[in-house]
Amino acid sequence: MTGLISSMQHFSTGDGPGIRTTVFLKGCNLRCEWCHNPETISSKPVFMFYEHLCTNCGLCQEKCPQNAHRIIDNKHFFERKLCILCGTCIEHCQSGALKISGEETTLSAVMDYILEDIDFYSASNGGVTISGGEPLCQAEFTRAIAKECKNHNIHIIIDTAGNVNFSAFEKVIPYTDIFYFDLKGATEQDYRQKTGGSLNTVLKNMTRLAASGCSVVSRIPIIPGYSDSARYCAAMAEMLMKTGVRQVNILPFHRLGTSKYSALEKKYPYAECVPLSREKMEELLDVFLKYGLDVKIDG
Amino acid sequence: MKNLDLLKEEINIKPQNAKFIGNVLMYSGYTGHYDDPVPIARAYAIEALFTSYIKHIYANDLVAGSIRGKLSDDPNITDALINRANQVVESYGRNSFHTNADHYAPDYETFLSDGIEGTLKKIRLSLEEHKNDIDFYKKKTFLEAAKISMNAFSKMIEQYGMAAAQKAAEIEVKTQQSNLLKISEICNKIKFKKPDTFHEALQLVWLVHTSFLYEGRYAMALGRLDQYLYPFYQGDIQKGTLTRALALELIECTLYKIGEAVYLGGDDVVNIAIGGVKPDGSEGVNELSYVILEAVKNCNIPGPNLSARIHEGMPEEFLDECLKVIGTGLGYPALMNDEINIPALHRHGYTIEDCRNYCMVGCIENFIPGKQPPWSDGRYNVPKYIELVLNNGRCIQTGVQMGPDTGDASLFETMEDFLEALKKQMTFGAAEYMMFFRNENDRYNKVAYTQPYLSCYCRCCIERGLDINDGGSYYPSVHGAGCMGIATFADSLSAVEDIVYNKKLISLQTLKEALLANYEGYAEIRTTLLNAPKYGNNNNLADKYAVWFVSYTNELFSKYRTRDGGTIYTTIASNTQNISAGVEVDATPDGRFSREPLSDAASPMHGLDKNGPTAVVGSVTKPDYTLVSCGTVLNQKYSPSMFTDPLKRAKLLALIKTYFKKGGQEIQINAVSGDVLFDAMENPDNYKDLVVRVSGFSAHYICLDKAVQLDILERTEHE
Repeated sequence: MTGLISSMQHFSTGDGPGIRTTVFLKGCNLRCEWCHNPETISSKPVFMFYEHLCTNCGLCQEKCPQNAHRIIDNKHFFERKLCILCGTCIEHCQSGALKISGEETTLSAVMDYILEDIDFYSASNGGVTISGGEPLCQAEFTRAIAKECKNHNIHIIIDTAGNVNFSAFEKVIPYTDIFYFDLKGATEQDYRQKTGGSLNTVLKNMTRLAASGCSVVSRIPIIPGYSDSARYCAAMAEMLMKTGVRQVNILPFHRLGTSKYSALEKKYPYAECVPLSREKMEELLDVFLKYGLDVKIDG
Repeated sequence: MKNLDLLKEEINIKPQNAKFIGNVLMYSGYTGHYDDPVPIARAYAIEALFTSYIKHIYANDLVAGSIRGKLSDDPNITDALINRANQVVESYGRNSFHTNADHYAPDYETFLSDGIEGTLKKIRLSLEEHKNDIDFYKKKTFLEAAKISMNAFSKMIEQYGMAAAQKAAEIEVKTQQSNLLKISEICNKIKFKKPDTFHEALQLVWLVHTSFLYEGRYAMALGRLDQYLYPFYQGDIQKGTLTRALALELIECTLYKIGEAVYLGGDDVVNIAIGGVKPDGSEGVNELSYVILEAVKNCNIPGPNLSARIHEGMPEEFLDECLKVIGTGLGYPALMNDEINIPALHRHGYTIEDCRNYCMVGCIENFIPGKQPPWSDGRYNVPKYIELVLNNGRCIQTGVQMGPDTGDASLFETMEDFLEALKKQMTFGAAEYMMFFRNENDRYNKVAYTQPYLSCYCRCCIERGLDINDGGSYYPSVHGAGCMGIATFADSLSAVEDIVYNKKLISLQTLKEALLANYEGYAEIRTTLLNAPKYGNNNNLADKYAVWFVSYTNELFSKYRTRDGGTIYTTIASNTQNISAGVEVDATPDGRFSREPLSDAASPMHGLDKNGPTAVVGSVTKPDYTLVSCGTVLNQKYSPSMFTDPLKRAKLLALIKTYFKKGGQEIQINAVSGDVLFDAMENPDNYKDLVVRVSGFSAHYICLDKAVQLDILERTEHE
């Protein structure tokens, strides 16, 4: 069995309790404006070119069978539409400027990677987080990873936006310890506008998941100019109260993903957006606290 | 304002226009004794040194002992006088690092229970005991010299007492006055009697340490301070005559004076080991371990090189407190694994109790306190032998035939052939290394170069009537062969195996040509080599050569002995000498250019550990470190949030515990961001207090040279 993986990362410190390995699956059915993992959105491999790392050595130009790379006047031009993602240029690149996100990976290769750190999971009460992209867009593969991890007694978190048919959840519920479930808006209209998905589906899934006894933590990105007001947070808190989910992590917006957008030759509308202050986050934390929710910043 | 802060202000005012007068003082001691046996003349020189410098007392101090007396602006001390003094003192000569003079942990435990009185009594008894020995003359001379120097030390303490009383009389602040009178009272007691209180014991230890600094010794360790002072601490606390807060202040005032080393133009490395198991194997962490940790944090200077011994089952709180201190940006304590270090020492035949009582001298060197002669080590430049294999024993930079003829490398058909040739070059290199070490180590006459004063702090010297380097010490001397560049070595062999022999992408002949050209015109080949598996990524192809590096260097050096029958330890640590060693080595098959730094200590090559800290742990713990008796350094850097956020700190703690459980020997952690370091390079004035550990010791970052600064900056920062 194989799945399309964007990347895998050991010692992830922001993806749940303890020392964790995070598996980022490719493909997402949402288009959140502020997305920090733009390379994971497409369900096909994508080529990334980090111009600032390029030393203009010219080896890619020499090796590319498609002439997609050209160095003219000490400037590197990459013609994306010529690229067939053969990876030849990457093998020859010394500066790490070239990359493909998205590799068809076997279950056993994923497990080999995960098991490298098994001693660390048990020592730290950590485990594996399956993230993305939207991992439930590859529900069968996610289920296979989670199931295999359970055979090794590894703690599993699935990090999902939940804009999927509940049958996808049903596939993974038996092997999942915690669901990290994103909440990205307070009204159907906002949600559709900012992410392209349906809030009703998300809330329905969240309620059903909580009712089936699963451990669910709601993860709310706080986006400047959108969800960073006390009023808006109150609206989201109120909705959460109806779902039965009581644990909340509020996640401050950051723009660390900016360079990925340029590597994909995409425009990042949030590139100039200043991250939220700690004080502001604490202010919003209080809003959720007032509802009696168990809320943390970052988590 | 806290006492420490006031003392810091006093100490931070450097002496101006001062000259070093150590040799002038020793010269005055030698002059009357030119016809005496050398050990006796040497003892009188020590006497003059200890008793004639000006005893400086800080108004805000609680523990006396300063090296300010080594400097003087007295106009009578002319350059001509200094030249004359140097001539005489140099003629008598003195031991150096390579002849076992410093990097020593004194037997403070015994000295505190004997005091000066008890020590002098032992000398008397020994003179009596050996009077019918065939070599009594030698022993008598040694013991006389020991007596003269110990009496001189007693006088030095008395003078500190007088100086403190005098200073008290001159000042008006009541608290300062009573503190100084207390110092005076204590000195008057311990100048002869053994100490009974914590304050007295600490004062005596510090004056012993100060006396070694006057002798010109460096990297003298305080050893297991939390163990040998604990009975005094516990006794006083029980009696109600000491509080934790006062003990903290006393230790702060003591350790901050290590920073006086800047008067002499640098930082000292005074190793202090806290925690660990006791000689009987029981838990050694006590309240004093925490007090010392806090004092070191508050002092915030690089000199006290704090080491925390970690073992299975120890209170997790202790490791957590260590991480908090590291997180302040101080860079220590270095964390040492008892579960590896104790077996690593025990193989050499020391009693298990002595092994459990180990401490460190210098940066990380394992040492049995007060029972073996001072430490020495050297550098064995392992990656150089890969260059020699490829060029039939010839050094590329100089053209000199350095190693044996191992044949034309381009004819090696298998990796095994390559490794056979490498073994021959390494074996020859180890013999050469030992030749240089022995010649240097033997270059002095054991009787003329006695160290009667130092010998008083080493178990059995007085009892046997023999000098520390002449059979007096309980255990023989050991030496450490610093095996350089484990990552450069493993990465190079991994590239040869992967690219030349497995994938057959290039021939060894082509590789050789690329290296000779320093990769000029071979960029593509270099990229191919860089893409081969690298140590630090938990990849067996590369890591197996790190395993081999550790076991084979141990095999090579375990054949040798020191002059008095001790063993040769290996060490996988390099301080900052990976840079100078790199200058000697031509381009290597890992993609490193000629003359670039080698990899640092046991750490992966900069920037080539691409899978995060758990993969680094995976690689670094594959070799058997119980074979490495001196020690290892693994440098790692984390962003400050890993220490301040309790949840993240718990993850770091689990990482370290797992590293140790898997057989890691040592880890040193920096908690500074790359941005800060970069800014510090540009604006050093704003970062005068920034302390960074560089492969085994702490230093002020801005004092490091550019290459070392870049070295630290490039270490992959793990978030």
